[in-house]
Amino acid sequence: MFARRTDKDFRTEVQSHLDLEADRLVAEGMPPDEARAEARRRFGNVTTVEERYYETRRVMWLDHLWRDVRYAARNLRRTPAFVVTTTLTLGIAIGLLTIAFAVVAGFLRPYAVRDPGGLYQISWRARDDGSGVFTWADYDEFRRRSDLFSDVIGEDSHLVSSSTQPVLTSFVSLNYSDVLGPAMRLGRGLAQIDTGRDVGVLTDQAWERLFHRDAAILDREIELNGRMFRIVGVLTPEFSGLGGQPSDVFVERPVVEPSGGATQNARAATIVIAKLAPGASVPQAEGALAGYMRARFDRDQAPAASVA
Amino acid sequence: MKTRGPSGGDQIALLQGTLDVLILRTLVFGPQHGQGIARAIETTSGRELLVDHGALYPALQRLEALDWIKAKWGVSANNRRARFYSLTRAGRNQLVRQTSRWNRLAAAMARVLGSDSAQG
Repeated sequence: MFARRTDKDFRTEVQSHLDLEADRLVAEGMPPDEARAEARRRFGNVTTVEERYYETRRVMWLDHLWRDVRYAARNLRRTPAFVVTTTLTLGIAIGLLTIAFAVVAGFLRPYAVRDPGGLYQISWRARDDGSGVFTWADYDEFRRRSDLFSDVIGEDSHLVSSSTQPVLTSFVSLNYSDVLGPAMRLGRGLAQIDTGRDVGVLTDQAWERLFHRDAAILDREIELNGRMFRIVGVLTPEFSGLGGQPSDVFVERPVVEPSGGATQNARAATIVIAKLAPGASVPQAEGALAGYMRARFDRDQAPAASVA
Repeated sequence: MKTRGPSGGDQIALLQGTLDVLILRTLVFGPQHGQGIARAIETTSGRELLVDHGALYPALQRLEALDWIKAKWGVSANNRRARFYSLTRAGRNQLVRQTSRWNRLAAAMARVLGSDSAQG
């Protein structure tokens, strides 16, 4: 069972890592002061937003390729020849479906958001599938469970074209800024009043790369897939989204159509972060979510069967 | 240059998802702390793979949350307190599954990239 770790325990572990690395460098002949500085540099400097940005940019194409390969494999299983296999695989998978809660503090640098302590990232996986995907329809379901969660935020990132440049766009729920409370350099974060409006918030790296740190950026526009979004805020460099790759711009999430195609929904991988409601426990939330995911599995399986 | 870090060379930056399987693989040889895992990956890859030390810990926490690894505080070879990670039975199964998947991906990549790399 996953037990929650304290921040202090994690800090102690990081310190221990720095000590061990410094010991090793000293053993290789480096003076102790220099070794300590070097150990710290190795731990921290590669996590600066810029370096991480370039590194992740390079791997993104492969990342997409992998996802596309997985998608192709899934489609293949829908063809009649694979029906029996599909049913058996899912049958086992349903029994072994797991839901995991991970404390978000470990994924975010401590100063990036206001209060990372009370936030949980929710993930799930089935036996034969490396990573489970949440859709915005799932998100809407979780949002309704106010008995379990006092707040739920969602984020889903895609590369979109902005005046021929690729821009990593995070589609987020409008309570995103309110719950995470990242520091703003200029203007404000997205809010409920932005419902249905084409407005966006830039990260520091996008402000630099696309607008050369224009001080009069607010109310200027950014084009995303042919649509103009008015810029209402710029974040500080410490926060650039929850995804593996730092985002360029934040805009409102798409609204899920009740009759929306399952395939389209299935491709939108959404990061879901929840704040537990007062009185709700992690095991309670896990139980409820596992039940929900099992029901969803059954539902998703039904259309595939009728195709066969 | 002595003070140049691992990011100074032209080592291959780790792909997302690769780190998980490399961590699991390293732990096959017994419990190890974070710094030891990073060193082991760097040295066994012939220093071709670069481990971002700061990114190692989110990965370790993710694996721990999935019950693929478990952790216990202990004492390192040079007498420092450290958190040691070890493989669980689920982690061992996962390693087998992911290893075959990565081998398949690597083989497919080699085929796509052409005969030169496939032969090499």
